[in-house]
Amino acid sequence: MQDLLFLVPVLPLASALVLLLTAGRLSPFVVAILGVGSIGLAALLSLFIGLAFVASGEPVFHQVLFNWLPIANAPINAALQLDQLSLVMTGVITGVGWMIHWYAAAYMYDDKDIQRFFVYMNLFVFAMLILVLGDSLVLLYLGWEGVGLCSFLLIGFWQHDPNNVKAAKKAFIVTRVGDTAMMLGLLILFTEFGSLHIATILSSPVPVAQHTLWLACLLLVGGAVGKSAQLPLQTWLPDAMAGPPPVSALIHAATMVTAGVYLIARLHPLFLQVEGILTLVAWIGALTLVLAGIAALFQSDIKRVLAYSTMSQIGYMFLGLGALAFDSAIFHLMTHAFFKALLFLTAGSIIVKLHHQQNIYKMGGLFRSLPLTSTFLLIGLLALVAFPGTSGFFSKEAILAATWQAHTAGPVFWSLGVLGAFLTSLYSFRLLFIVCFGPASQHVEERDFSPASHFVLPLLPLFVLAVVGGFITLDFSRVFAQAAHPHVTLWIEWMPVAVSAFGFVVAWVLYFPRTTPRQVDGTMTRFCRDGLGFDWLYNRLFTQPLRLFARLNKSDVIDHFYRFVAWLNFRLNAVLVTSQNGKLRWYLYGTLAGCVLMLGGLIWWR
Amino acid sequence: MSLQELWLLLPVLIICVGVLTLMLQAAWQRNNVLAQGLTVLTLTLALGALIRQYPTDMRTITLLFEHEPIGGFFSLLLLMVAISVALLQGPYMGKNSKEVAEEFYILLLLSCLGSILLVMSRHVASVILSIELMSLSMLAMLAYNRERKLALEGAMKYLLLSGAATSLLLLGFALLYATSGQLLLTQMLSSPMQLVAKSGFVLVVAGLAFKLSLVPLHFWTPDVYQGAPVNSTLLLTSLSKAAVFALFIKLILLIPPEFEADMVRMLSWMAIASMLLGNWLALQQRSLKRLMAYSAIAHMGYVLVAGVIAMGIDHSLVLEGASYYLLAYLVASILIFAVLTLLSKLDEQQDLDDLPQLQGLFWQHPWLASVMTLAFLSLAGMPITIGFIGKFYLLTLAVKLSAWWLVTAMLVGSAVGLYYYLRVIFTLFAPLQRDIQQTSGAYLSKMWIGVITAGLLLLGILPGLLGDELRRILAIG
Repeated sequence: MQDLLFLVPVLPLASALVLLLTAGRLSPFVVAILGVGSIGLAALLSLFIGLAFVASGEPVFHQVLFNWLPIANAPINAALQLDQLSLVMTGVITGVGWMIHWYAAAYMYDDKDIQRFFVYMNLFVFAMLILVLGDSLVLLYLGWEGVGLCSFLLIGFWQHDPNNVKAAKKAFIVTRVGDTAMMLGLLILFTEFGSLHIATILSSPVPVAQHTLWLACLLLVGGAVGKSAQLPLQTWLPDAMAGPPPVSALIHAATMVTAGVYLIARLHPLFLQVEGILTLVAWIGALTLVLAGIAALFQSDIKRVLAYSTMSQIGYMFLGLGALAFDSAIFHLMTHAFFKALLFLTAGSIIVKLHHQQNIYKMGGLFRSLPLTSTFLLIGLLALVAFPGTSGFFSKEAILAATWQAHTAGPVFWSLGVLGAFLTSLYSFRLLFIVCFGPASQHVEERDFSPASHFVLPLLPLFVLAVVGGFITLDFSRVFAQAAHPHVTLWIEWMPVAVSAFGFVVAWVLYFPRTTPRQVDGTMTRFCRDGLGFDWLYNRLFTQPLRLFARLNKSDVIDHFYRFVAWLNFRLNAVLVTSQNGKLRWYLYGTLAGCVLMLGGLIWWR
Repeated sequence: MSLQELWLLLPVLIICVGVLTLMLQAAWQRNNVLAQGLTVLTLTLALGALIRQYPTDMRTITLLFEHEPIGGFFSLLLLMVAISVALLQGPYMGKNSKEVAEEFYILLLLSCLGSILLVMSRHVASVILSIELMSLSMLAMLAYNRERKLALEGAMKYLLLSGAATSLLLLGFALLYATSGQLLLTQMLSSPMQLVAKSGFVLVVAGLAFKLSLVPLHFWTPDVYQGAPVNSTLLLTSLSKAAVFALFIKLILLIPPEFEADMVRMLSWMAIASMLLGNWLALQQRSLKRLMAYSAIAHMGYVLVAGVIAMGIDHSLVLEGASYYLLAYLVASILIFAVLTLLSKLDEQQDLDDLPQLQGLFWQHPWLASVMTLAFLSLAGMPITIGFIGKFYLLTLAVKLSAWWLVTAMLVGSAVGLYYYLRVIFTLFAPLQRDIQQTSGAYLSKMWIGVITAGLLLLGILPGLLGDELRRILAIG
């Protein structure tokens, strides 16, 4: 069974290629069957492979496909590696991805470019699977860039709107900053260890200077921060919501943005060797989760609220990584994938139902008009605020408890996390109250949203998982050194719940729509709504100077050199052709002169 | 001469018989198609005979000739060229030409005979005789349309300049004979060389460099190329260059060691000058035949690089590289001139030659334009064509020998060359301006062009296909 592992990434790739080569010739139904079916097959296959793998009890299953780059002493194989970590990731990618693809088929069915859409989506799943299954950092980087490309293509999927294209470019360029850092980090690792094979690097006996390793890890964190939209490279994620909602659910909530978490978890033995780097990771996570929580509080676009919420939740994962709770971070990654995918898809349903209205202040009263969808939203938000018993509760609790005790983190980080929990509760219930209560919106589209429609069916498994996903026990004993799970005092354990409840009350007081809700607009609000001024800052710091430079150097200095080369060649040509004047006596003299020259050379050199 | 030796001379004898038959046929009944058929038949038979008893080692045939693998390989190339010219001459001349037809084929067979004999020569007498046989019969072909003023002018220039070059060659051999007292090439060069002998050798090299149109003896090339009927230009640029180069490399490999350093220096400069000057001269050329003439100068410079390196290191690899490069050059030249031939008529005052006349060829004759594009890409040394492999061989060799001046000149020359080759290609794909007539029919010629084009691509994609074979054919390595 495990020998079929290669099929898991190959199925989506094959489907993407088939869809690409038959571009525009298949009916939407066939496209949907191919696009969704390939992911579904991959999901079932990975389920069986996972069962077989767990039953076998092996720590790692390794599958070499072919020798890719035959470098003499460090050959790079196209090889897959399945262990407890990549198994969980594969499960999330294919399982949640399947549901999202299914939903996307319904969502995009009437779009004339549905085939192109599924090419990108399937290609994305392939790249993401390569990222988590690759046994070397080269393959990981291949997948890393692949998901970046697909993210770019899908954010700008509706390319007729210049704003979408702008958002796509922004996402690509900002993450590219991180990718470049990561590339440098990988190169440092390669020079130090002479290999990019993950297992080789992690178990390498080669002694490496502390500062070199520190630099490499810092650069890797740079890559992770870019991909996972953490400070200071977080600005692209809210704009990335320009893509269709299924894209946001798949790429910008469940899978790609968590690649940074995976990277650090995968290479954690390296990080453990470096003093202080994990504290940095914890700082990044803690600050991001608070800042993103504040920004989420002021958004009026439903998808942007969720985007900032995603950023904030990934901040928790980073906090967990920084607090040595790698297993809890991955656990939160999984539960977050469940409930955030549910939330994004529910948001998509609401948007469709309301004639592509995304402004929450123009919604309202949805509990009456869309009871089922509103229930999904409620459950998703409850999981998000870690309501006891839901999936989010277990994972977030584990992270916060670990943070309190870890020597790389501590009470300061814990209090930031708790503050984040308060903010989470506040913005979640604000969203819920404004969207679902109050006066009803007038424009509800007549569309089949019966429980059996394809808009609802894929949400059911996600719904169930968002509620009970916390009871899944993940076994990471063979990947992460077992951190003795701390038993903290009771008040520390229940503090987040208490502040969440407090958040609920505050939200009730502040945001429950007693009259028609309206948007406040002040300098401070605008500042928070625009993501706390980071866009403004980066614009001043980087974009403006670059534009200035481009303007100054309009007639490129370097071009002058090439123009000179061309000019020189033409001059030479003009001079030389005068020797070919068609006169026989000239040719004869020329020939004899050449001969004399040769003889002269012979004598000269003697 | 034993029967065994006669047997080895079979390809040559077949061509002789072909010449006689054609003469008889012309006396008996003039028939264009029959003459062409007989020529192709003769050449094919000769090719078959050559392959049948392909030399695996060196055998002498009388005092004058020798039968050895390198000569065998070059003879193959020469016969391929001659067949191409014979096949193209029919459509080029048309059915009702004002010029007599059969004599062209007789001249073609004679110059082919001369070139093959030149490749097989081992004695001064046979060298002089065969080189003149080749050149003089070619001279008549260069002026084959007597009503073209440019053709007559070009042939006259070639006659006079070539005469001067031959006298240099003879003088050189005379000096060598005076010091060594030998007429066999191997013995002539083996003794320790005095200044007189060295000067003699330099004069011989000059005489051959003239035929190869190497700088500084290249002046005749563009005028003669432009004047001649396009099919004769093809013969001039391929047959005579290949044959003379075979002799050239044979001579270079015979140089005694104490003289090598001087020759390496001199030939390096000639190669560098040829590569740079040839490409620079072609830069803004509008006449395609002149452009090909300058390009020939440059490409002969490249081939000479192989000769230079041959003196430095391991001969076998260099022979392989030089043969590959020459093959690539011949294939591309045949294709370009073949397309031009199919678009021109011998009876007209002008061939299709001016570059703007070719504008938009692709939109009217896509296949011909594609063939031409591939051929120019091959000359420019672009990947997936045989030209790339040829250049790659030479560059590898030059880098291995750390001949950085040569490498630099090769790279600069290639960059400049790319400019004018691409200019031609762009013209082919520009919007169509005027109707371009091509010779209708001529299926045999077109099939032959197709075969050669396939070879150009196949050897470009799978160089290994020929690489090992080449080593076996040349009996090296």
